[in-house]
Amino acid sequence: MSDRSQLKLSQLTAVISAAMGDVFAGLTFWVIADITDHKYYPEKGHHYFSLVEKDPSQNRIVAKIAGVAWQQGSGRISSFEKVTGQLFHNDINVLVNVSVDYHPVYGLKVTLLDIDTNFTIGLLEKQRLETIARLLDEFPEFIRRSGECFLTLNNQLEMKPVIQRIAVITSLNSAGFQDFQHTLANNTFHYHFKVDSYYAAVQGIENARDIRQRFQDVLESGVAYDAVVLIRGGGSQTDFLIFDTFTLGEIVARFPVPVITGIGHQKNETIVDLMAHTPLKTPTMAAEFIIAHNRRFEEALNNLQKTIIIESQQLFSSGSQQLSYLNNIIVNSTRDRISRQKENLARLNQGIISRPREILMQLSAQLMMTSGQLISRPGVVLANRMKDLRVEIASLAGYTRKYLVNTSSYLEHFRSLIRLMSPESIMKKGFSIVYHKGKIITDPGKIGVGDDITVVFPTTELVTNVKEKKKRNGREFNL
Amino acid sequence: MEENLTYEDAFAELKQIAGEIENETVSVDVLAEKVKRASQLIGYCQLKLRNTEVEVNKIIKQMEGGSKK
Repeated sequence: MSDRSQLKLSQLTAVISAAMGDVFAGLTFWVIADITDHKYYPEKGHHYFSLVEKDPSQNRIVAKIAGVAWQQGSGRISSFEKVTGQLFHNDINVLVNVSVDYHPVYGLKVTLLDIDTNFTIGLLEKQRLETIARLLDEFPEFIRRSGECFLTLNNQLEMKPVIQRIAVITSLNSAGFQDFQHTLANNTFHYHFKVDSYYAAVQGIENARDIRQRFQDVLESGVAYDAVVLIRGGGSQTDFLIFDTFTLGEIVARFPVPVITGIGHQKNETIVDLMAHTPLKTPTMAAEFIIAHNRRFEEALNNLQKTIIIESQQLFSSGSQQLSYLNNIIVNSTRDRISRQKENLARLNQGIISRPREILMQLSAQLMMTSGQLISRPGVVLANRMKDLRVEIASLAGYTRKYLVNTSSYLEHFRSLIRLMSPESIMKKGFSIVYHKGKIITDPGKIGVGDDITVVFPTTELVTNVKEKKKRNGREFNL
Repeated sequence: MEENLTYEDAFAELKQIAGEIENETVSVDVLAEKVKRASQLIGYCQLKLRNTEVEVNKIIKQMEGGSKK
């Protein structure tokens, strides 16, 4: 027992400390780990926690080491929380820069020097995308993607023209809620609102179910709210992750009353914002939106009123114009028509008066002409006949004269012929007439010898007796 | 004027008569009758228009008075 060397604990810890110092002094490590056993002492600004590594398949802890963040590390944590919106607390997966320290009393610890924001942002973004994908996948009936946007049952709801009954889901005594109330109450247009508050803790992922329950309460209240306003006003700029949860994304997306958000974030929209009807940055902006929305309605009303006044006046004046236009047409057309008819009548009348006269005159002219023809025609005929007669008479006279001349010349001829042939002239030529028994004899055959014949001379007659008869060939008389 | 005669009906009839008179498709026999009917219709329309205008102006005044309150 005596040869066994005995050390005081402090001696041992000193040895450990020396050995640790030899290996880890001045070294830092970037380590991926989950946070657990987290405690924060705001007055000192110190974080105490443990880093653990879990076996992803069995959720069994495979490594664990205590950690602390002093002033420097706490400062890095604060800015980490601001940038990521992620509170530094249990069950978050982080990439931290640590030194390994050994203390004789407090033992082995890692000291957090820095925390990687990008790592966590990437992680959160990955989670966010997974949550969105899950929402799209599980509730295609009321969440659809449309390009960069999402069409949800809620954001496809038609906002009522006027928002007056409002359910506000907010944390008790939230500065944001006060801003909201104040902005609504002091609106310049003196609009009145009925605001019911539904209180819930709106920070910390674990409160998502609580908020979801408030939405249910709004529905079950039976009040016909015009809109639900989700406010997370004031306080730290951290921990928006509750608004990226599946459970809140779903309830907002399917909520039957338009949801207006005023979550008070400065960065990317949360999933709740994406699903909500009207996502706004702050509670004040939510209130202003509601006032502006109502104002738009009032202005539309005012415009309608003006339009009605103007349009009705125009309607009246155009109605009057139309009436007087038609009146003019009727009056003028009728007057025209009547005066034209009058003219037509007058013209016809005149025609009726003058036309018969013309006809009579024409007829009498025709008659005169005809009678003139009738009168002159016989005279002409007679004259023609007279002329013919005269011609005939003239030719008759000529012919008669010629005939007389001819006839008298014939007569002359016959006279001289008769003179030549007269017995006297014949006797003068030596011829005498022989009679026998009182008849002139031209055929001596009938006279025989012994017959008495009388030979006649103009102044003397010889009675004789034929003594002889002899034939002779007397050709001296044949001329 | 007949009851239940709307402005539109009266106006339509008036327009038709005016057209007929203008296009001289109305027989002179009924011209006077048509003109008389037209004048009645015009009177009726004017009366309706005037009454409506008065009433509308009253309502508008109320509307403006109401919104100023």
